[in-house]
Amino acid sequence: MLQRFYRTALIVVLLILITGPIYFPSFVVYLLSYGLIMAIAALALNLLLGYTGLMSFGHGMFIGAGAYTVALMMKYVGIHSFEVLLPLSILISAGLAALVGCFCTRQIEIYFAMVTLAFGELLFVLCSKFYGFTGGTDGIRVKIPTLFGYVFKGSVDFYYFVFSLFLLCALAIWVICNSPFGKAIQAVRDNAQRVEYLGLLVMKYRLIAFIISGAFTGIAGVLMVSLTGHAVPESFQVFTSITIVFMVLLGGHTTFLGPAVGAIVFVFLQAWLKPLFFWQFFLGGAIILLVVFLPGGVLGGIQLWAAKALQRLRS
Amino acid sequence: MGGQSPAAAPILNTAGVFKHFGEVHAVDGVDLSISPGEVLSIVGPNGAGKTTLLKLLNGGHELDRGQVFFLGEDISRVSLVQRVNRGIVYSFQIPALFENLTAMEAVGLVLLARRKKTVVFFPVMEKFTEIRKEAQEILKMFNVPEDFPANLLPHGQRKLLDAAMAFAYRPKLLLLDEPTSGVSTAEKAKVMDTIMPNIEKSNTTTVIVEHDMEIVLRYSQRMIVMDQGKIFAQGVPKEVMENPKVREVLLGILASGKT
Repeated sequence: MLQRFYRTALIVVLLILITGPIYFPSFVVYLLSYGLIMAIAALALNLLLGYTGLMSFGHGMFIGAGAYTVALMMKYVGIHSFEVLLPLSILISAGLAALVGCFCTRQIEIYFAMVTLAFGELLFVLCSKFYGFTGGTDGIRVKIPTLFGYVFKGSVDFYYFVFSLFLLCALAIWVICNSPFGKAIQAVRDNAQRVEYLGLLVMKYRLIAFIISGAFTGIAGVLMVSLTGHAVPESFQVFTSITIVFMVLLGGHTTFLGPAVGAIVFVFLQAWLKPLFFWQFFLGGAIILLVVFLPGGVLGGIQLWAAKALQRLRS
Repeated sequence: MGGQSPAAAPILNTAGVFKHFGEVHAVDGVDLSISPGEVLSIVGPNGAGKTTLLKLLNGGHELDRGQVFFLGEDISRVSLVQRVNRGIVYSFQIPALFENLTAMEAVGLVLLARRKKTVVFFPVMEKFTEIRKEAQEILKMFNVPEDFPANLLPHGQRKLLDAAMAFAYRPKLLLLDEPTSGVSTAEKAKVMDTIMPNIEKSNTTTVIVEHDMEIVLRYSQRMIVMDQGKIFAQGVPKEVMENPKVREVLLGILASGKT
């Protein structure tokens, strides 16, 4: 019964996401695209946070890596197509993750978070200071790349591309989370010592999880810069990273789809609150309320509510 | 249960191993030899160094001094992970489980680890039917339900799951650290009656640290009495127990064990 409820809810949401943009105003379509892009990043981060048990405060660096791969390739090499830029940025993000991971997966908990944060800031500073190459704090303007020669016309067009990539990424991450490797990282999260006592090197699993997570976040970076049309060094910065962390917690890190829900809710919440003078104040308030009343996040809350409602129906 | 003859080459032996934690001489020069196929019990009062000795064998602790030989090879400097890969597997005194994984997933993971298939991203774990079947069999043998996450299992089954995870690795040498600790007296026999037939059937060489003398007498062919980091006495359990000095050392245990 509960399973059926979830399945129906999922289908309804998917239907809205598929048909909605035809009718929605372009601003809403833009926000939805933005939300789905961040949802890829949030799902990727949750592979690390929820499944491996490592908190990263540096995932912005992969958004930045993806974004600047696109921007720099366009500016200096003249590559304008997704089919080249996407694999390339996946490779570069994964490479960056491998490099950073070698330093930070030796640490755990707060130390891991701090090392990732430091690397993010390092890249931010590098990117802002190399004015001649990266355009410094002005960033680099970017046109939407083409897809196998197809030129995207308008926001609805691009939305469907984002949506399909989101589905692909979500499916891929879901398979990874439920694969033997996925179970191994969950084991690492639950009891790292026991994993070693089963003959598996914990560090290897943490590193691979970090690389996978970084690579998927890089995809989000590519889409992000294509949507906003502007690569900025702030993507590397801690504020971006914390936004992703917040999305994961908002949606619920204990469920697979929670982070995606969190990302979309966050984007709309932000757009709604932004006209207010102190919008960050309200966002901060929302975080506090969330931690106190909904530790399982929005999706965790919905599940709890659905389970309770079902029980009431039965009795 | 062969391998009783002293002529058989030991599966594992140690030469003067030491482990000191500051002033505490946890293991203080132990020479030990384990024959293939035997079930060896280590008994001794609390703080005698039993767990530390086991962890010196599997690499959970680093040796201060001395050597450990496994199948004739010096493994004193071989890491914990590599020793597991060679077949020395330890089961925890306080169950160390993956709290959010089901028993099925945990044992499945061990089976995958044994086959070196844990860095596999596709397909999802349920599709590995061979693994699932073997895990089901092992869980049935150990009487643990498949589909509950470990944190929902009662203590007795948590102990069994911990042992099952170690056993699933098909170790050449199984180290069971107090398989019945924390289990009620009534349940102790049940736990051991579940674990031991599997060990006997598979002829797994096993070292058990145990407090309950009844279990030691019933299941092991040989016992070692440890006190203050040293081997105090060893031999066939019944004969060793007749030694009055041994009874003195084990006084605390015997009083609680009602032997």
